[in-house]
Amino acid sequence: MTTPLLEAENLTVQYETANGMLTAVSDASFTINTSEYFGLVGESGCGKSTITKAALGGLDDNGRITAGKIRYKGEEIQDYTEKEFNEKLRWKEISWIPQGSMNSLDPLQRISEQAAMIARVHTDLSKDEAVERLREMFDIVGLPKERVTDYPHQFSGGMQQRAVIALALFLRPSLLIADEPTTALDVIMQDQVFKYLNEIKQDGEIGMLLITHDISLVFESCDRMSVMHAGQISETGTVETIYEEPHHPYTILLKEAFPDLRYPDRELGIIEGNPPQNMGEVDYCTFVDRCPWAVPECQEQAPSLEPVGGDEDHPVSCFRREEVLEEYRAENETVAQTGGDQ
Amino acid sequence: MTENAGPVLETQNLEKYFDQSTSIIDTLLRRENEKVQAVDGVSIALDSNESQGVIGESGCGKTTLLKTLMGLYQPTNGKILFKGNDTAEFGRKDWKEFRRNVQIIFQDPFDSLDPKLTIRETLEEPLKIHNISNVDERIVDILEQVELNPPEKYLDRFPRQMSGGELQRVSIARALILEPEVILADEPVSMLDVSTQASILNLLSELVDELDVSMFYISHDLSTVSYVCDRINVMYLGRIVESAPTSELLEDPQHPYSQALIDAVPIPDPKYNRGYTTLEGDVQNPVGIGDGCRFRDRCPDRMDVCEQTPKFIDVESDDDRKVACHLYYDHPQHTETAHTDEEQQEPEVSAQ
Amino acid sequence: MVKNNLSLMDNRFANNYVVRNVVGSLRLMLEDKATMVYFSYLVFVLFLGAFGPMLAPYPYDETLYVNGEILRSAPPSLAHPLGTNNIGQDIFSRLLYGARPTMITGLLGGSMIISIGMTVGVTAGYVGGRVDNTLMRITDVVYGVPLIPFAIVLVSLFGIGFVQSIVVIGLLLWRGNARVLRSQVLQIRERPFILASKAAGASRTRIVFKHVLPNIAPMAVLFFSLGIGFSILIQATLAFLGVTSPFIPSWGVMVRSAYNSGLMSQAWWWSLPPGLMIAFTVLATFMFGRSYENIAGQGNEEAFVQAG
Repeated sequence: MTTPLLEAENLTVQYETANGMLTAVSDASFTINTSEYFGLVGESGCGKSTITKAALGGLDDNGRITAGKIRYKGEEIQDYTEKEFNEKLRWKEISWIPQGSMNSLDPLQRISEQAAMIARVHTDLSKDEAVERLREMFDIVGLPKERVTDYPHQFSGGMQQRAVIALALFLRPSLLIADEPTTALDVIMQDQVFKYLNEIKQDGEIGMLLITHDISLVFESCDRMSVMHAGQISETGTVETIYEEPHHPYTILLKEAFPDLRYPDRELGIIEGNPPQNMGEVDYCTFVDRCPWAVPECQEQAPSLEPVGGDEDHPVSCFRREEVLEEYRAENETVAQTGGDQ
Repeated sequence: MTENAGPVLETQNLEKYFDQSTSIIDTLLRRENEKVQAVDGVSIALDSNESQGVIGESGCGKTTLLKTLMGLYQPTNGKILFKGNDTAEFGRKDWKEFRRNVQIIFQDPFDSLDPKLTIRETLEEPLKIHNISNVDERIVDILEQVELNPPEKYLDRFPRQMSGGELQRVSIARALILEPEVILADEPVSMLDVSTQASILNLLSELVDELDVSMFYISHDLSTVSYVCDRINVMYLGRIVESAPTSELLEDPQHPYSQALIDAVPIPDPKYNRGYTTLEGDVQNPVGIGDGCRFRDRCPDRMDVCEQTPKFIDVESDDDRKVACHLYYDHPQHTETAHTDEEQQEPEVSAQ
Repeated sequence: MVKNNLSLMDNRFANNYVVRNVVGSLRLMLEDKATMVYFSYLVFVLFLGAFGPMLAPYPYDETLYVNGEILRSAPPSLAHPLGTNNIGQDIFSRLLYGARPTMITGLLGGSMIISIGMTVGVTAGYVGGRVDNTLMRITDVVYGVPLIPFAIVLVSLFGIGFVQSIVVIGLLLWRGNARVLRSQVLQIRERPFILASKAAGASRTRIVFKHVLPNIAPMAVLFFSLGIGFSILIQATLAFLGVTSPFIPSWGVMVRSAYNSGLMSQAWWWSLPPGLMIAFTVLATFMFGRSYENIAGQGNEEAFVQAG
């Protein structure tokens, strides 16, 4: 088997707070293969952004990786220093589009100057080479090449977001981490951005980790995905598997809660309650209080990611992973049809 | 105020323009600045027990429309009619009546409630203002209706002690506690998580049915609007470009912009290939944009005639639908009224 | 309408709402160590202001004799822990007496500053339009007035006196408060909870008293405490310049007397203690204001938010 591009193994990230250790990510494992688009879906506060920050050494001061490993192309990076991250990874290997990144452009510098500066810090490209590469990227993300010398304010919101993507891509990284890249944009702008992300995918040179709350964006643009709930990874698999055969209760319910424009009359599923704040060690399933299929065992022990139905590529962290979907379908025949058969 | 059987809330050719900030030099030179045409001739009518959506991208003027409807802004032109009475002629008593009957729900649940007040105090306020008795009983009732059970648990909490979904329920409770006739909802679920969003949408549409309330629901997100609204108005740069019953609009959008908007909504199905939008560019700024179809610069079907403002007319096959697009009417027949006189934008609507 | 506004002030509101907020902020203060230290020091000075004269071993204006001779400029001793001044008065007693006028200066000046500043700022910010323009232009004019020369002129107009010197301070120093509070109000009045209240038909008075004021309260506390500090400081300056009543023994007057006597450098026990008391008190008000604003401005939920 080839080495995965990015791999998280039993990763636990905790934040030190006034009330004790807050566990943002608990025992999370997933892999992203070379030139694969991978989606990480979950509600706000589920720890999905924390994972990306951990992978790039960008955790806040009070947060740290307390257990587990992150490997990039086989090399362990969880203990990298700031300097190592800068010299070896950031921008040229892994680039990051943070949340609300349209505002991350320096308003006083032309885009080309910003690119030149990034190139100077992270590579030995000359200024002209850097700008030339940025031009190519502008073309790919659908911005006019000659506008590389514009200031950020000369672009509209959607164009700024594409300029950020161009900047993220121009040093030809192998992995792009996009954290809610389009939440601040309107649907049409969002669609334009994903159109270009999809075109870049066709070249097969880059993998993407897409962090979002919007499961439909992941279904549309990713190959594989993980669903996360309150620090734990619930389920991982190809988007088709997750769509057709979700085995974790949270995935099943989340999918049903999502509006689908094709069926405006379908009743939306509801997930009761709120995700918990996990303090200290998480030795329970974080979904237990919201789960209609919970059994006492779920309170006592944290389920680990185990293959469902013997499928190694479809791990689910639920004690009842083999039976929940059938029970659910039996209860809601109609919903299962519209959801599963399309 | 006189009662009348028509729409409960209606706008007729409503316009709201904003002044841009003027510099001293402009004033000295008597230069008139171009106005920001936030709402530019909107006519919609909300019948009782009906819920209508207004959808559009950010900057299309939907929030200004809402605030104008609420009486927070003075309309530049046109009328707002509440039960057939012009709000411009309202006296103090009429306003009080209006305030009791038209309530609002905001987008951001974390900023919709005064952080210094308990839930009880927040819900008490409208009742006190309108001198309504049996306050405690009503508060408990309404909390039960928005499914915050048991109500006693929530009464003395502060907003910071509650989750987004719970806060949004309180906002809904505050809007409904006066038993209003109209609710104006400004993207009430867009800041909530999906799991909570569904329950709020369900709650909202149930309550609107049960309590005989009409609702204007404003959003940028078609997929949620379709769950609560009977009818959808598509807004672009200050104007309504299409209005149709929800299912008809979704199945067969007429206006190129509605089409683009619907096509751009992601579908939660990996096997469904929807294709990406072909639209380029971005929404203009609504500053001094003159006549013509607002969408023409981005429109895939652009024609020469689009330099003229299209009229908002019935779709031929279906008199329940309206669209403002030159593709949909026979021009010679309408030339009499179709010339773009400033005063006469969209004449058909005001005649309605 | 009037009845409605009055009902704002009814017992239930005052009892439960105001009391709750005051208790709440006290609790906040006591939870934070630094704030608690500053706050306790201020309480201590207030206590001196209230009970200092009773604790003083001698009347502040009594000239002390030893063996028929006036006890002039005696260095600290057991009988007189801070010695005596050039006319034989006990400095420790004067220091204790002096806490009262100093505290009165602070509280009166601080209250004037915050009440004028808040009235102007909130009115301008909330009413807006022409009212806002007029009030802010007046504020600008007040900004242009140099403080000390103006105080000297005004005091000579009103006559030299203790209260006059405070009033002068109050009449000038509200300007900063007004500006900042106005911009606070401008932000708050566009927030959805205010709009919702308007939509429910709340009157302007109700919105201002029930929603706007409580939400600018932490900032008002900061300004009140800064106002106390500034008033004490400037009143001491005025005292030093001789434009306040020399017969009321505030700490500023003590420093001036020490200076006037020409014994400033020899009789350190005379000039230093009131000087230090002024410095510490002013510092405590400033630091208290800052730390209170810090703790009241944000909840402890920040760490939780970051976890997302």
